[in-house]
Amino acid sequence: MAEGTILEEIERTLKRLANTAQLVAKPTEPEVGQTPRTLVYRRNKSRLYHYPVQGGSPHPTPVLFVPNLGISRPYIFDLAPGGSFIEYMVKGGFNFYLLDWGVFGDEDNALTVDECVTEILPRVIRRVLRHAGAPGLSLLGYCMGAPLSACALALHPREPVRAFVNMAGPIDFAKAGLFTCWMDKRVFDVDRLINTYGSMPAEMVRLGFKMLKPTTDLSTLTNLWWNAWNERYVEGFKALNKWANEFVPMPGEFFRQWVKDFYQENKLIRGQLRVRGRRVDLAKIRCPVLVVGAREDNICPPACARALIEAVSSVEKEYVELPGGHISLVAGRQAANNLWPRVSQWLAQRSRA
Amino acid sequence: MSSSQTPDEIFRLWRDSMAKGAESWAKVLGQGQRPDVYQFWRPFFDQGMEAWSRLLTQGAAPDLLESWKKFQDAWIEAWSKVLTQAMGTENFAAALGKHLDQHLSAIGPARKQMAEVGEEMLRVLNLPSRRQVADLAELVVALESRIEALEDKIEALLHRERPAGD
Repeated sequence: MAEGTILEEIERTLKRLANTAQLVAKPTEPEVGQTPRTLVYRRNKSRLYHYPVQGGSPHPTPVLFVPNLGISRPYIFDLAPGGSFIEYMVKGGFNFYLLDWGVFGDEDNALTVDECVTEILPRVIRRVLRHAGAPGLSLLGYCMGAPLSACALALHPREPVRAFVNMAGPIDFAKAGLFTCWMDKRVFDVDRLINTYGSMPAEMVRLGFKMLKPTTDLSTLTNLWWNAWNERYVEGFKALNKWANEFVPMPGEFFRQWVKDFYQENKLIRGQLRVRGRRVDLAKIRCPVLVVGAREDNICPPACARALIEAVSSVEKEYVELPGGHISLVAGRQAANNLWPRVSQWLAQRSRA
Repeated sequence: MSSSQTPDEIFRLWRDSMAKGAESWAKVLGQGQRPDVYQFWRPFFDQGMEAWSRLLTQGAAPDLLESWKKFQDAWIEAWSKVLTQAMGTENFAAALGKHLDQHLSAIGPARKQMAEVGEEMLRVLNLPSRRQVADLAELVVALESRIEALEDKIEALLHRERPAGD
């Protein structure tokens, strides 16, 4: 073996030791969410942010992005310059709006799926249209944000939504993998949990997600060790690690309804879900629909998201399956090469004045 | 392991032994036997130590460390599959549900008692309780919603009164 390789490896190992020691001894807070934005609207904890176009030829149709409610914070979509979905979209000419549901407290435990679907989302859509001065918008739902958006769309089919993208959003909950198994009504008493805690505590959310793939922390740490000689990798790790360990609670009534109606009864795809007394019929969705599944997703396996394609009445509908898991589908190098250009192109083709 | 083996052959050997190990673990977990933590970690350290010792003493092939990394990833992935398989069973879900029930049985009365004691203390000190603050916040949220609903109605009325083309 060349002596150079051994020396190189020893040098890297010394750098690894120095960088990991610094991570442990002198942890610095990574800067996240750096893309410029303005607050357009707020309702209780929820905030609607506008990210103005930064380049490219501007598209006339604004994009409203609806991520998950509770569980985690949405800065994963704007982690760091050069590694941000939001930055990619605004540089590609999109007027981008993000609905940040916020961090809920005890006072929000009465929030329900009904309120999100029939009050918050329609109001946010109107605010985006008014702020952008546009006749229509494109709706982009990620994870739980996708079924919530689909419900809002099905109940308000006259809202001027030009296109709808479901990114790893569960629709057929019978196919939602381990969560479906663990939250089966024969073994999981959600009433007792919410009656005891009032909400779904952040610590329990963390436990549930960590249990989905118990080896995640181990592989994250081994990958960190292998790459710790590289300062850029360490910076990226810090930002991602901050996000991956920041779990937020879910409002009690919302979580109760979410588990019972969606996971345990699978009412959405069965056409049995009722919101404020009205049936949610996904067949009422007629706008162009793109569904993106992630091949290794264990939170929303591809079949779970793909079910939307069969359920809607849209003439124009497309399903794509990309490599990655639930998070790597939307954030990181793989996402920058696969999902971001795919979604951006699809939306650009459907953007019109 | 002979020193004439190429890293790819070593990697194949690792992978095969891992597959066998993972298979036997899956059987053990299925039978509800207690897993041996030492066995779980052993291949990881054994292979790592061997790679380093070869690198430093025999002048190993330059891609040996790369193969060790591959081994690590494959080893973790194999265990991940085993655990996912074990956790996706009805038995595991039932055990998890039972554990949660036990936890709630223990924590429920304790939380209730602590809340009562806390509220009493705050009452004596003439301070608002957590519940009272939350109630107040709920009231503010409800007021905010009503104002918004009024705004929407006013806007709708204005739109109706505005002549077409305005």
